[in-house]
Amino acid sequence: MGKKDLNINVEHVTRVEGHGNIVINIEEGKLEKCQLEIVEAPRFFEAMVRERSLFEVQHITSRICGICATGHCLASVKAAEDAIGYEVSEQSKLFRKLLLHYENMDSHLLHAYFLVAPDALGVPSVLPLVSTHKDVVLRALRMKKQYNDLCTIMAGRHTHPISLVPRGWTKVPTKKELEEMKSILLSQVKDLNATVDIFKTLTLPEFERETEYVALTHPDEYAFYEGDLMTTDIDKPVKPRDYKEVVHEFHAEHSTAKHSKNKRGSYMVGALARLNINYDKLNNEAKGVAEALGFKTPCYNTFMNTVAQVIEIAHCTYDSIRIIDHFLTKGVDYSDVVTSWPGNEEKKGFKVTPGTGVGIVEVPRGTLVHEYTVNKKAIVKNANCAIPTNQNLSNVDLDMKKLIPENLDKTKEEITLLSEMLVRAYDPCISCSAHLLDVKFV
Amino acid sequence: MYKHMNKTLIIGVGSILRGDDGIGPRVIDEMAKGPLPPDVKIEAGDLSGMDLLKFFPDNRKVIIVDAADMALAPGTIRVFSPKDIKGSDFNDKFSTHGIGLLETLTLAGKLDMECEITIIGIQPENTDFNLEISDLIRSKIPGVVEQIKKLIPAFGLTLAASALPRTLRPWSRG
Repeated sequence: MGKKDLNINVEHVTRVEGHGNIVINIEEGKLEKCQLEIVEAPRFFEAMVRERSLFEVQHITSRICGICATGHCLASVKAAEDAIGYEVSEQSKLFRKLLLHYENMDSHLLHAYFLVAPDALGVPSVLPLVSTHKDVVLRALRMKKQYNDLCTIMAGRHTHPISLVPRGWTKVPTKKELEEMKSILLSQVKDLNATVDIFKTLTLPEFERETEYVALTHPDEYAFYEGDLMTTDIDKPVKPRDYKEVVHEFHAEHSTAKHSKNKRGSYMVGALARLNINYDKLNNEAKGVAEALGFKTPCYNTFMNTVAQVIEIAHCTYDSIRIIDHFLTKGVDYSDVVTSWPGNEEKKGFKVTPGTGVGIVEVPRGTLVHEYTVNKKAIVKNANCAIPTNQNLSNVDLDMKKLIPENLDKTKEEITLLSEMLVRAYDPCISCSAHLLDVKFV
Repeated sequence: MYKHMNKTLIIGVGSILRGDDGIGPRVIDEMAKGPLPPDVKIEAGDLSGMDLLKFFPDNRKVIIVDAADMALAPGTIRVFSPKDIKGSDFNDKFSTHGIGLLETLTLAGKLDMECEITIIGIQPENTDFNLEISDLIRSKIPGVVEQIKKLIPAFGLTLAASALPRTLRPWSRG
């Protein structure tokens, strides 16, 4: 194999605004340039919540993303509660965990079946699968609809939850709704097993690059909703309010999106990071799936992020059943509901002190941070939002810088596909709110 | 026999954080003020493509209201069916957000979902980050509501067939 020149520029311009380009430049067999360029309009969410009441910002932030609406909503209400020193009930927390499970399952499923499975089955997109693997497509759609139905039961509607507010829930599920949710989850076991069977046959590229992995961690459970921030490079987790000790945001030259790093050049968040930190907290069913899929920690293969997502779907399914069973046995306290806005009487119960609050949750793509500074009238004066995809950007670049030189003997098409698969493994959310229907009439 | 036979769903798609992209949800807000015939439901939100797919099998008719870049003058309203537009080859597999309305309509067509889908596209003026919708697009809301009502017989309004695109005219439907 002689020394070669190679230029790859994968442009994704179908988005009206906000898209990612992969740029690879090899000269005489030497990698000159290799990066994921994010061309995206600066985000204004932080400005949008400024001067608004702490008790309404979740309605705005939940619209940052149509896929992670619950995640943003939860990070938002947690930051609000932290800012005013409000502690929600255990019941409210458990129901929040349940809703977050539903969203994580929903998003993981979409990614695994519609974006990664086509690569594994050797087709360019999900469309040809309708002819060759119709049962697979229908199963994915069936599972997806059931996750949406579960979200609707819990939050009033699937996208943009309405019953989730600072201080708790405006509505909690009835016994009949709990039974309905349990029955949906139990009916999914067969589809879940079939999903695991598909991913058993999936061949992922051999690639390893050890990096720093970042996720919430909790002493008693596999952390999604609460915990402290842990990384594989530190000995002791840091409190959510000290998140900036780990999440160092900066602007990279080739991208308009914020990047993040800790002490190394990059870190990774997401399902793989969570498993590398919290594997022992998985339930037994999920550990069974991990074994069936040949997943072992520590895992340094980024492509395994999708496998990690499938493992998490199993964990969330069975943990959801556990939470529902808890309420079916112990009962639900129906007096534990709140109004959308605190009334005058309720306000006497807590004092809003000016200060800063931080809410961190693990959403499908990783650690999501919302931080609000409020005045004594509970008006947001300042906000910061660290989005998982942005935190992963530097890690994508460094992965590519290792992956491409290792595969220089491959054809341009193979290298292009490999780099696309790498980016897809992160399940990136390139632009959360750009989805204008682009119409060309026939 | 067919319990979903007469069900109609009107979905307003878009993000209210993106100026005129919020026209879909705002039209639904407007519809929510008035009475709706039985079997007519409304839904709104920043729905990702795949989240729309689940509605198709449960309804006889789905009307999607969305800001659409049709390369027309801002404020232009067009009523069309998926057959009128170029489908997507689903090539943008970069992000789950790449699975948009266009991809969903293409997939629904492949899956032979038996549901009559009508899209009301409104050419936006400005989709920058802004909680406000532009005056021009706001002024179109009553017209869009009227248009929707004419598409649903239960509202008792009629629309001249010639005003519809070819694929939506009654005689061109099998």
